[in-house]
Amino acid sequence: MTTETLFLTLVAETSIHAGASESEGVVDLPVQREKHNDWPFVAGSGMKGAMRAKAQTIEGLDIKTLFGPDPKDNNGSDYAGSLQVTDARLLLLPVRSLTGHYRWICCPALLKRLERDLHRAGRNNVVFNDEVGEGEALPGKLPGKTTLYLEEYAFSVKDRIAESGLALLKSVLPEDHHDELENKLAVISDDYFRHLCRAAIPVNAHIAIDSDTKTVRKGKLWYEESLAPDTIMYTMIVVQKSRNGKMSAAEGKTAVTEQLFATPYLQVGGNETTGMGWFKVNQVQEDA
Amino acid sequence: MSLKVKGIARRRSDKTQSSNMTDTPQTMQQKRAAFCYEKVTKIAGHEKQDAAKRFKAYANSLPAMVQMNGLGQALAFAKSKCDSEKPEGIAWQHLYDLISEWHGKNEGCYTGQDVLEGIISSDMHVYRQAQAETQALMVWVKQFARAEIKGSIDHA
Repeated sequence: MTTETLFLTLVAETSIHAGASESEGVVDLPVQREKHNDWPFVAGSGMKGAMRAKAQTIEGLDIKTLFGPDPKDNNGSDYAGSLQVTDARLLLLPVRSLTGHYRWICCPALLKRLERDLHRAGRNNVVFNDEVGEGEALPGKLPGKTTLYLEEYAFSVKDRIAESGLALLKSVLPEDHHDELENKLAVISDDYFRHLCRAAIPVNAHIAIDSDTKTVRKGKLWYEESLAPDTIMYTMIVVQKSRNGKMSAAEGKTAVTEQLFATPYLQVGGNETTGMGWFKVNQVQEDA
Repeated sequence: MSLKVKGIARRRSDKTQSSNMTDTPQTMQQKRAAFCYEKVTKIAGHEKQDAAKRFKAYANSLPAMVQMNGLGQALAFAKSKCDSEKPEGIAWQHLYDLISEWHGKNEGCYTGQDVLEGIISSDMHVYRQAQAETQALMVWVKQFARAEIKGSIDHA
């Protein structure tokens, strides 16, 4: 094989702030979003940067071959690295629910895209074919009540998600989340999902304190968005045969799985010195 | 295609009678901008400059409040702060009225109604639209407030 594809599921263990720089929008520092649908994502460049930063802490890893030479060494254009890292895309968004614990929401458009992405990664995917009406929700398991509250919105529950849709999600989630998935899942319409991708992302006010007076420094109040812990995303790494001839695709893949992700954690995005940005990385195995 | 050609032809002939601008389409963003600009310049010229400065600070924080607590909660908070005497109350009143008037327009979410009354009496689909619309409107309010109102209050 000349290329290998790794499909990685990312479970946020802390808040994640992959910022989109200052905006003139709703909050001062929003998270990155896909322009056409408002779904949060983390750009491939940010993912690759985070992986490269992690790689630098691992002894014996051939960073130059995997990630490409450092542009600082004036030979950044000698050859490209053998890893192609894609954007981290949203899989399940945690949203508070009045009727119980939080819910993991997603929508048909997202599940169809997951299907396509899995196909591109060479995984034999399961199909999602359910339809969801406006104002309806498909849970993983039928609850006792017929109304499900997400944020301030009431959704009616008529049926649960079809077994194939559940299997699709389970195929990319680590096994220890499978029961949880059934209890927390809610598939809602594309339109409501888009709205909640705007309205249900946590916003925090940040201030800077003047250390002499212990009051807020003038003008130092800003609002920052971050993805909540338990947000689940996925990314892909396509490993190619290295351009400098040092590694085959298979060797590159082994370096990523056994060295780079020997510990399954990756820190992505901003505010790392205040403990943010930790994803737990889980590799989705290829079909046997 | 033929519709488009007709539109252009009519616009050309309108040049001679400039009062007829009704069929020149404006984007929603332009409409929001025009509305907000008028309202913000009004508070910017308020005799109590402290009220204008507070308006700027609250315009900055309201969108975050809407996202954190929902439109209804945020507007109920704004309404509870309204007061025609204090600068703080004047600023909140102006902000609340701005949003309420926009939604109360003919093409708005709560035509002819006070926005909070509309929220309480309408269904959740309209509520979702109203929240999205408010956020789109507030982007302009924030921008114009920053541009038109100089200085800031000491304790935001």
